[in-house]
Amino acid sequence: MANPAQAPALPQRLVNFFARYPPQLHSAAVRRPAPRPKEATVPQTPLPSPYTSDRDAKGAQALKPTEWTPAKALLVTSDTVRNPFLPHKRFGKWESPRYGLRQQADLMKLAIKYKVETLLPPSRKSPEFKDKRRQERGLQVKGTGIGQKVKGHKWERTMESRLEDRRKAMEGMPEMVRMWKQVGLDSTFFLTSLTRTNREVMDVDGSNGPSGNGNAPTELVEASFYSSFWRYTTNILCTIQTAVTYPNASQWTLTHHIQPLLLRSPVEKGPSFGVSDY
Amino acid sequence: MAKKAKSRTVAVRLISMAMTGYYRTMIRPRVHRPLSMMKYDPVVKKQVLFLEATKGGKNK
Repeated sequence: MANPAQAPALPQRLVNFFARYPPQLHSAAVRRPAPRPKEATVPQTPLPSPYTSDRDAKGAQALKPTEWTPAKALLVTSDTVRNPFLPHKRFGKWESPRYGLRQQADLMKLAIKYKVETLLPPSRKSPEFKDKRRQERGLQVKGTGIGQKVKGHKWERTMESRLEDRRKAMEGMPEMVRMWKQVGLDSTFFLTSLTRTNREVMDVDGSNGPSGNGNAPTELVEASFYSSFWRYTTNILCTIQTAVTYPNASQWTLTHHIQPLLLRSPVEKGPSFGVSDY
Repeated sequence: MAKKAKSRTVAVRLISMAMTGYYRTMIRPRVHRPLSMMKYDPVVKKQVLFLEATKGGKNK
């Protein structure tokens, strides 16, 4: 380490600074080693895909202002030797740094030019601190740091669920078309009901299937049930058949008289009126 | 004052049952039954069932 006071090549401003704050006491190279309470503060666990509607899939949280970080640890110095680049607590009150941020930046730029930046005290303007902080915070654009993700457009976040909906709908499409051709184009109720609940109808796994209108007998539903689509279709068929055969049928009539009739002739094949006249 | 007479026809929206958000707009007589037809859906590149939307646009 060269003594800066004997280096005539340095500008006068740096010489004055090193004379006032000798690097043997104040430089970043001899500062007290920083305590390391934690090894890593940034989350290293894999994050869920941002292409979902999941609210937790928006990436890591931003750093808390008071949280320990490796960059902040660089600024920790000995209490006995005051760092002129940092605020100092004295008699219970905070004193400003001897050198403001602008002066620090000027000194740091000069020191970098003459390659003596390591002889300056730890500072927010040092390249080391800036590098560390860049690693932690990214480019100060939300989501670009380590372990963070950008929020993305809504179409990106919902893409996965929409494709899943579409896939399920296309899986159930042949059945739906078959049913549509059988039940017929005349059935107003079929069309409007199916349209209103098409999302539920196409839900193949039946986890949140339609609740139905309660008109279908339970045994009948169970008998022809292998998806929500069929359960709902059975409801509709029962209603149609009831309305045609028994226009004034009540729930009690349906349960006690029409249900046995329907059970006797299964409805999987659908009613006979249909597409021939369309 | 008498209300304005309703038009004889209505414009309806036929929604693709492939859940792609694609739809067609057609005009049918007001007293006609709801429309439904097999039409081409360019998103899934297939012919799929299109059903008429209910009034009020509750279905999506």
